[in-house]
Amino acid sequence: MNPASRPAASTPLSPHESQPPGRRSYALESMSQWLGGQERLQIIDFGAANQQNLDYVTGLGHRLYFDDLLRSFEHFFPDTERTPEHLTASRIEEFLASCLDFPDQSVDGALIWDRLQFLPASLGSAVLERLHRVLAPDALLLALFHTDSSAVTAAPQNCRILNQKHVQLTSAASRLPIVQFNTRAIERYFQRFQTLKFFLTRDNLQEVLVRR
Amino acid sequence: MWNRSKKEEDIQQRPAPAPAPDYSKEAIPMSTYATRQVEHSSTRAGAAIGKNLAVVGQISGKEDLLIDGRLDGDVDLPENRLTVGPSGHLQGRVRAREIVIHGAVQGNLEASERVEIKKNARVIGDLKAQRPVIEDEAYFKGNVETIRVDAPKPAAKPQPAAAPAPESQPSLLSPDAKQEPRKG
Repeated sequence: MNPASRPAASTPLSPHESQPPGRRSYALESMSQWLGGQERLQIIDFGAANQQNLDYVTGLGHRLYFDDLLRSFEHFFPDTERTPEHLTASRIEEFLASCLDFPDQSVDGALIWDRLQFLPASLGSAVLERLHRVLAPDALLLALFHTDSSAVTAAPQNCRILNQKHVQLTSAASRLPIVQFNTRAIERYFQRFQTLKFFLTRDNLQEVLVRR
Repeated sequence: MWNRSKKEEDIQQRPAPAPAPDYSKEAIPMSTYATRQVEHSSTRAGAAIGKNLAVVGQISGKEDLLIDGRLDGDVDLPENRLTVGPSGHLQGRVRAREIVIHGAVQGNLEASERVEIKKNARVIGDLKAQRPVIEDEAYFKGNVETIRVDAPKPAAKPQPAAAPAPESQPSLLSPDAKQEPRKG
């Protein structure tokens, strides 16, 4: 590139350049259509709280419950207490009470993103079981799964809803151990739910939309 | 002599060099959200709970309040702003016109205008405001609900006097209204 044709350092970035382009999300698109046709729903977001998701969901007239499931897990179970012997039924119940304290069938939608995959298997299953209890019939749940079968760790994704079809995924700084799921395992994971829909993606991130 | 004077003329006629542009001001990344600079220090007059103070009890009034220490109790400032500074710790329910959190809060927040949860703040509780703002790297756990304020409706324009109904159309007057007899 000719240096003379290079834009000056002070040239402000265009809005397109200043923000990484979003990823087309067909699961989000389906969920958005459903969200748009309803009013005053209770939605859960288990990712990190961010302004974009807040504006999007509350802009549609719904209530949004934020709880960064990973941060809550790390806060609730310190490093030394993440071994199976520490994940007792009573501790898991305490954790569920702290992050999913909703009456049965009172939640209308859940944005789980990739969070379940970063919890120890027993805790992830318990969270899903509790979600099944608090979600109302026909409620929708959106989840992502890292599908690289060779990976032992992965970087959690921070997900920002840009619009009804696009989501911006930003990798967290550190990689964490993940629980591996293949398609069959995902089906078994959500077997108590009414329907399960997979969306094909080009990267190693599987989108899943589940109906309670 | 001639040459010298010509050079001097050239120098005199040459426009003064433009001041070098200050690029440092142009490349500052800006947030897309309208947020003010940190105002918790001393830019707004009001009451303050200092870093080394701990208060237990309810606070209500008509004055801005800064909490940089610890407060266990509810805050009710319906017409004012509450700011919890970076070292502030509040445990209780808050109702105010405007709430800005830099520190830690455990309790529900309700603002008639806006709530701002700043970077590095930690808030556990439900949030209800006309304009809720959560900055990146803030920790927030709870429900968010926005208060919708309907735009004021424009004053109703006075209705123009009803034009007389054409003869071919039925009269819009009520049956009780008297009609003047037509001429001709």
